[in-house]
Amino acid sequence: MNPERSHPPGSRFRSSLRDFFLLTWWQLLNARATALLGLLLFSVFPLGLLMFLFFLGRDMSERTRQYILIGNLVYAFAMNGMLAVGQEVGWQKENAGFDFFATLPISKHALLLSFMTRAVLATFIPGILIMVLVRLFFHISLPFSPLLLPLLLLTAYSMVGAGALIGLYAPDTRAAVYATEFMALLIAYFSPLMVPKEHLPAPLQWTSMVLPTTYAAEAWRLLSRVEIGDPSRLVLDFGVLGGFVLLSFALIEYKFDWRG
Amino acid sequence: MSQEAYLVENLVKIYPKNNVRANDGISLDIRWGEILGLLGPNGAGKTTLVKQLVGLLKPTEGRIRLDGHDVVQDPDIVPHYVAYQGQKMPLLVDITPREAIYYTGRLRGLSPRAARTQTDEFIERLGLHDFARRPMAKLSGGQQRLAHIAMTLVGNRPILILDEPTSGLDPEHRRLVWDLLLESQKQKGTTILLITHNVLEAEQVVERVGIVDHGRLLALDYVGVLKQQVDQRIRLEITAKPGHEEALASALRSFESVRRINELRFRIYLQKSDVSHAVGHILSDALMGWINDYRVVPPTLEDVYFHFGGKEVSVES
Repeated sequence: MNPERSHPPGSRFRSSLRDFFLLTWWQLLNARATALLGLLLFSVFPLGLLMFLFFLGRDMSERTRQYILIGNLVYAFAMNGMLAVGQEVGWQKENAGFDFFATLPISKHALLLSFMTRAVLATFIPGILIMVLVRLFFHISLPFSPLLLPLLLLTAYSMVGAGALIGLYAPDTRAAVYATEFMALLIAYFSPLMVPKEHLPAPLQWTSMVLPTTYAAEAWRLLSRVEIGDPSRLVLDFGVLGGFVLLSFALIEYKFDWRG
Repeated sequence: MSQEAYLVENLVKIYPKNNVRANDGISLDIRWGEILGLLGPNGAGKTTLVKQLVGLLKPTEGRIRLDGHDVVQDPDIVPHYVAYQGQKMPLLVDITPREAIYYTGRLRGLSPRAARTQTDEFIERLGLHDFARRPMAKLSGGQQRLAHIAMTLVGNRPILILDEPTSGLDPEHRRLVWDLLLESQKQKGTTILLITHNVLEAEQVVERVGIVDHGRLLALDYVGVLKQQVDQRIRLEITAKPGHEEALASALRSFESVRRINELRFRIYLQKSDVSHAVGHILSDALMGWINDYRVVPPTLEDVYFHFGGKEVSVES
């Protein structure tokens, strides 16, 4: 009896990809009963802000409404995933939940990516729902750009990576919940998401430079022509977001307890 | 193929936070196709040892070879050989047992068809039908444990490492699990490392046994060989009818080796040659009216366990 490795080295990428899809599906199956609750929970904050915009912002210019709307959507696409994955990873870590997966012949990357992708999917559904509601009820139009999808994916994965890091570094689930909630509030109110950067106090302008949402909102505004700026800024925004994704992945890889 | 499934040499594990030496120089081998039991009290270091065998913990010192592969250098090799069932169950909420078994099989490399076949087989064998499509979080602890056992068995790994696999199961399902494991060993040659507190059940399945305490391996041998090292006397265990215990106690005083285990239970240690006389005596009309139950027990694995340091829970002095 000699099983050796189930996957020959040549097909490692293919088997990792297959494992990733299986694990992501596993994650979705394992959270389906609470999916609707999650959808409601994750939609409350962005929808509340939209209501605020609708009731109090009648005198705002179209551009200001678009500006706030994009900030709101970036929040929906970025923060929900971070909250979801941060708290999930904290829970799994505290309860040795990763031990089961570590005893299966799967790669750490496939598992991590599946956790992150589940959170990203949880982000996209409320995000798209809000985009539809905006068009139907608030009559705010945002020009579409084909670069929007990669931008939203980078936005979501960069913050999901940050959430996973919080979950891994937090000593227990409760600390992970507090840390992710704090981070979400910090980004919502103390970064140039719904307030133009130049209107923020100088210290917050500095701290905003290390938040992926700053670059995501700027890129979306440039793509939608809500903000006029040098198109080369877009390259910088995409590059920084990509850098955040890679950095968070590297830090997760380093911190994530796995075999041995 | 290496001669041994596992070869462990001088394994030391120190938890640096509290400087606890959880494993202290453990060396053992696990042979292909055998069922090896690891016994020991809580906190003896069994789970720490097992977590190193499956690559979840890195040893402080020592070597672990799995079919000749160095587990410390290459822990990724372990899941290709070993299915591990830990004491803690995976955090499963909305996924059903059927899905969890199927996808575990798929993640162990089974084709969709093979995974489906095995899922059906284990649902049938372990009697999971009634709750196979219910979310895991809505199942009882025993039902979750059964699903977890099926998740361990799916994929036919040649080595199974099971940490308290029957914990929380009723006697019928415990028997079912032991039968399934024995069948797997006999028909497929599966190597099984079993960690359990249930010494009486373990005796029915294990071939060799290791006794661990204070992080050390105190004994490792065939059950029969180890039994020869313990008190060879036969135990006559007698339970009194309530209300007659004092009368019975007086009557049993004629046996020098009698011990009172608790209010109603007595134990007499006998040489083989004295057993029939003693049984004849307690079966006499005079005593039978006071006795609820009696058993004649030869040396057991439990005796081996206590002999090598296991802690007995009784009022025996």
